[in-house]
Amino acid sequence: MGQRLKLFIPLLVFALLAVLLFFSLQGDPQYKPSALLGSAMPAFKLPTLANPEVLVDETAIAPEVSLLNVWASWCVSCRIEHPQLTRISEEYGIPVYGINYKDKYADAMQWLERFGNPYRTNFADEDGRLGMDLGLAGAPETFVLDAQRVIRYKHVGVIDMKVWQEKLLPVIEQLKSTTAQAN
Amino acid sequence: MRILLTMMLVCLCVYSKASAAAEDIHTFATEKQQQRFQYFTKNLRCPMCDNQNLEGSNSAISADLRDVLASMINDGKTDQQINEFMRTRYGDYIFYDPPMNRNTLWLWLVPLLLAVVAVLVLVRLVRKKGEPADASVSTEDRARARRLLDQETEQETE
Repeated sequence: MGQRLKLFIPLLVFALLAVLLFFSLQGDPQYKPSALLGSAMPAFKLPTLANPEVLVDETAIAPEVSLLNVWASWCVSCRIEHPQLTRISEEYGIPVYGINYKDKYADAMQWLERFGNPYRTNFADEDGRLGMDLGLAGAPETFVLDAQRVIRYKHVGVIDMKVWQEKLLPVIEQLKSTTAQAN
Repeated sequence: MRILLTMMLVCLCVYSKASAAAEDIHTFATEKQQQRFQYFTKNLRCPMCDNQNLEGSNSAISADLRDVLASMINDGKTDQQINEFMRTRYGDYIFYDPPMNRNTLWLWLVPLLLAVVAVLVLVRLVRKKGEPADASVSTEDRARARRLLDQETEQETE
């Protein structure tokens, strides 16, 4: 009988592999967690779109839970997520900061004029150096910062209602409740 | 034949043109620096495109990373400093050759474990074969087998 049962070992191995591979298929192969999760917002010195004459640093981001959205006028998907960002800033009252990534000043200003400006501040990262420090692959990408300006979450790609409600909002709410407890 | 050759030549030209597109001009003082640059662009992955190295990628971020890499090499940064720069921004993902750490340990361990298991199974199989034949064969059968074998060898020697 023991010998007979041994014949089922290949079947068992197959079944285990099938289960493992099936669950591996569920994940997003493009997903890579940011290397910066849990580390502080990289230091920078950049002009803002509102005032290109003056350089500001990371302290221009107020110490509260906020979104940091990377966008550019050449980025088509940024246009798609723009209404959602406006909703987040207006209806949910979450401060949204922008990094205007590898863009021309005039193009960026024209874009904001045309589609509206949901951003508290837009940092003009013309050479893309801050983007590189943030481990960016492209635009749009969005970071969730906590009250200490530590990067807590990163979303690559367009923010739509689903992403907002299922991914970003839970992270933000959790961060807000821990901040409230700490105070 | 001539047509085939022409077609191959055309393909080659198109190919070399395509690969040249990703090359921007980075000048180095020494051959060694040039080699280091080539080494890194071959072994670092484009953050955007998953399956291309920095050398072969036309994406904007790859071009930026190539620029930074070139200036780091010109500034005399060590390999370790360059690797650290890349790792803090893009994680282990950016290295085509994954470093051994807690997450990747199994990549090395599983093949070793499988090899050990394979050797054990092999040893068991070989031992089993070496054991004396099943004792349940009757002595008459044995004698018969012996006779048949002897006959065969006699025939062969004749």
